[in-house]
Amino acid sequence: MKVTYAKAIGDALKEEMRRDEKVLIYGEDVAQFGNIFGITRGMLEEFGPKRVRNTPIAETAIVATAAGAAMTGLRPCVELMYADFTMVAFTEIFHVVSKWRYMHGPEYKLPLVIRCAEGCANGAGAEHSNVTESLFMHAPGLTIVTPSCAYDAKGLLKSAIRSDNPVLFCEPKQLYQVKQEIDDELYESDYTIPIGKADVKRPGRDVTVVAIGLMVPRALEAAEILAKEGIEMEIIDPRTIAPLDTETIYASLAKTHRAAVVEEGNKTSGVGAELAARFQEEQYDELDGPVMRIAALDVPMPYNIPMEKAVVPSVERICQSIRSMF
Amino acid sequence: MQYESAFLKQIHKDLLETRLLEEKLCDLYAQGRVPGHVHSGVGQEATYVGVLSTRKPGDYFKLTHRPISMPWMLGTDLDMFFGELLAKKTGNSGGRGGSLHIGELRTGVLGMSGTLGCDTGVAVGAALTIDYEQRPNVSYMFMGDGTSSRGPVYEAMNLAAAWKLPVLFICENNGFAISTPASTTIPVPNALADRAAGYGMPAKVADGTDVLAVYEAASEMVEYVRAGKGPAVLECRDYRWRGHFEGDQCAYRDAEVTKQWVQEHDCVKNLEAALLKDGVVTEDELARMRADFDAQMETAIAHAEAAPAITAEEIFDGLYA
Amino acid sequence: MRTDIVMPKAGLTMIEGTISQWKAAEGALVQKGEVIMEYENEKNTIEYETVHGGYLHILAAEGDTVAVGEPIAVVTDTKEEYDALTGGAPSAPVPEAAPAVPAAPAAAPAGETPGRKGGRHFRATGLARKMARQAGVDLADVTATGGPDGRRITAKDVTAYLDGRKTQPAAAPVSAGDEDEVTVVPWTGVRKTIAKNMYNSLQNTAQCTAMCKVDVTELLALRQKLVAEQEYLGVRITVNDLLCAAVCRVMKKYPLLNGTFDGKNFHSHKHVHLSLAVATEGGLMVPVIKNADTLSLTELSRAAKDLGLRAREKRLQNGEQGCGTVTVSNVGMFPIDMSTPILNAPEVLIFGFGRTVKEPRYMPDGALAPRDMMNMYLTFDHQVVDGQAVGRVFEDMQRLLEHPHLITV
Repeated sequence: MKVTYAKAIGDALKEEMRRDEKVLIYGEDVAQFGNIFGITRGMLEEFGPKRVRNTPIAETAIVATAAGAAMTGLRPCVELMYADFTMVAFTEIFHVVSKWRYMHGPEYKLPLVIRCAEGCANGAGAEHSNVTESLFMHAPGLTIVTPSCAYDAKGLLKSAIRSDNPVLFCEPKQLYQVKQEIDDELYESDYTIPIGKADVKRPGRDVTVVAIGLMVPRALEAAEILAKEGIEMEIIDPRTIAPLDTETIYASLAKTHRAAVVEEGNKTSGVGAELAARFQEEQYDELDGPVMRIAALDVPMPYNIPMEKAVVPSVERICQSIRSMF
Repeated sequence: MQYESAFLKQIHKDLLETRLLEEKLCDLYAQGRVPGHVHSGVGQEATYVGVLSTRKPGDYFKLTHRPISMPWMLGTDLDMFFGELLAKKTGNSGGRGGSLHIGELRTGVLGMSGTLGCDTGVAVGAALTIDYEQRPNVSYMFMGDGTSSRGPVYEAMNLAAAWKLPVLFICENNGFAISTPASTTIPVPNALADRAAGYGMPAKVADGTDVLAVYEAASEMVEYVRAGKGPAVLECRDYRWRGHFEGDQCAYRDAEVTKQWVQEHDCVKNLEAALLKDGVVTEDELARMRADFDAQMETAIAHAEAAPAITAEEIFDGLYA
Repeated sequence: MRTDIVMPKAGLTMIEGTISQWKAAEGALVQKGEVIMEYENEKNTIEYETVHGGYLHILAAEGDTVAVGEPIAVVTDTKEEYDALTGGAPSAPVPEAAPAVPAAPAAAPAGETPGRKGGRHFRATGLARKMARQAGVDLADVTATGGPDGRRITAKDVTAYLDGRKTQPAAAPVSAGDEDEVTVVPWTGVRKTIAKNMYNSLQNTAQCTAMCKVDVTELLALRQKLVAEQEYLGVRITVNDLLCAAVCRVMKKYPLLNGTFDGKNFHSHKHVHLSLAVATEGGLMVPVIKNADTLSLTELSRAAKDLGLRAREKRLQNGEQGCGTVTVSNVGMFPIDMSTPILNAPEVLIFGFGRTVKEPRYMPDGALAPRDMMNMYLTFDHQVVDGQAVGRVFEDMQRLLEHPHLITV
């Protein structure tokens, strides 16, 4: 069947709530309204007001209460609407959620998921278009997941909900309506995708391209173009940004000896900056050239749509950047 | 109110042992045996002991950085208590968290955040679990007057009120946010109680230096909360005897005022005087209690000092479940 | 408005150029048509006249090798735009490498880091370093071709080096304590082109060299007479001029040798375009005297002198090199009796003339006489030139050189 990314998220939530009565969802406008992207539509009716709750506009409370509920036995899957609003609850995510277990001991488990919609979306502007994985890579103890397709989204969200660790779950807005053909039986099976395992989306011999979220389909498109020019890109989707599956990435580096990172976030101090630094530190002997960062320009996202498109890496920009490595 | 002798003996024991632990903390710190800061709660025990004397099994507690001894009253043994304080493997986090993070979830202690106020929602979240599981429990949320000005406190209080969650918000108003007098930064006389009306919560103010007065006020508020009527506020007024942290010379306040508080509002001394008068305890019993508990503490400290610390190889342990 | 100034394309085969000198300063207001820069391609040093006027912001430093079409500078219409572009502080990029064609090997850089052997730093990738380390290769021996400027050693370069080394005997081990010093001289511009051309010539042609001795006693005598008439002729005729004139006469006679071979066709030329091998400080230059067969001896002499001088002064114009039909290489000024000159491909013949030595020679009357003897030799592309043809050329050349009045006919 053809499944949109948004439906896959909704189905994962429903399946987990049917499976485990300790799972509940709450956030801004998730109940009657069904979330601003329609993802939780129908869930209030199915699960009732105790398990599907609207919150006030209070991100710090959403995150901190999730921590308290999680350590005392529930499995909250809360929503912050836009990834931009993770910054409102930065302390709660950075100090409370991420460090609590380490600070208080192994008796404390925080099985919670914080979902947020990330990235640009046709003129959403400077405070509703951000991608924030890199900010939270700085928070040891936190798991960060960004799926790039419907199949992964469903399997990863189920794993995130079942994980005993706090998970920041990032959903690229532009992927919500992207459809993927998935075998019916497989889709409806209770499959999960392990946290912390990268996926080689396309094998190739010439350059390892680590792509995240929305950039995965774009990198795959770029790979088709460059293959005709004789450059074979190996596209690796880490899926879990933290903790990162360096084993898969390094195995690829040992084969291609060249690396690029494509991300929707800003270039400065982005995921690519971290990966490039790690590559040179840990895999220097495998690199046959500088690591290329392909990322958003370092500006607040312009409201003007052509300018927005210019900020985020396009297929064309990815092609150009990869070509320049040869 | 009339109390049974056993209750009075218990509340006195809790109050005295909390005092002795807080004093021991200062001694150990002065000897350079404790890493980091220590925020001593000597003189402020009544608020915590009085409120916590209303607890029932299954309740949750979000404590504060002062006093840090409450986990003992709630059921954590002294070996673990001093193990964590002295950063040893025998501590609840193996010495990774430190003095602010002593406690065990099995005793209902939720832990706390060193970024004050950000953990208010944690206690509200625990109340969500209670509500979800329809248990007759309460989540006790302690904070100081300084924390009462933080934004996350109000987001959490607002949510708790909107969802009618079983939380008792307790503000121990000792008059100072580090060096800053509450009167210069808080526009109402009672830091939390006067703000409770904004969330439709009932509030009560008690004398935080009188453990029985605290107990009585807390009982009233806890009954309301435990009945499922929603959250409530209790504010206890006392005075911070010592500096914000050990070593703080308190040059910002009048030493005469402090002296007066210490002399007139010593919650342990005042309770003991009443119990002696009523014949609930004798001077000999009091002396023996102090000596016994001191010996217990010294044994636990010796255990902690002999215990191994975590090694560099174990530094990442416990980061992920 | 700002306009990019790009590395111009001067010649069909030019893919990159090396900036030899900026003639205009950073921040200067340059006029359209003004010479602002001088660059080298594989053949020449060329002056660049800007096609846009404005305030100049230099992007590529002297010594940089830049691909054709890539920006080397920007000009802005206004000072404000220039300031905005540069942040208000004019600063020309500092050349990061030694001049492309140093006159002599540069001294080792001052201030060597003690830990680094010989103070050498190589621009090499991690993988290239690992491969070199594992194979026991000194990076100094590896030719860099990678990176945006072709000066970074990559894995490919190490592999190429290792492939090349397999066919060579192992180098003698250097005794311990023998502190060698090696300076890396970037082989760019003209030097890089010479290297490539020489290598390609040997790879792509079937070169064979023949030699014979010529008695040039008469030729030298004639030359002395012509020198005596220098004032009348207006030019000082050299031995080389006479040799070149002789070559022109002979080549004119054999159109099937006078031309170029592209691997498929031989392009036979009606006129002789004489390539002259000229040694310069920057390396071997080969300017061409066009239609040399149509020139008188004095005209030929003047043309040769002019080209030689300008080649040495790096003032050759675009198009004055290449497109020859035959080359003359005269090493008579050195104690070289003969060599096997490498063809100036796609030409198929190159004449070489060695030094002149007095030797005893049996004259037709049987008497021994001291004569001025010179080696004449010829490398030819055996793909297109037969030994018989070479024999005829030698016959004619010998006739002309031993009876030099025929040259002037």
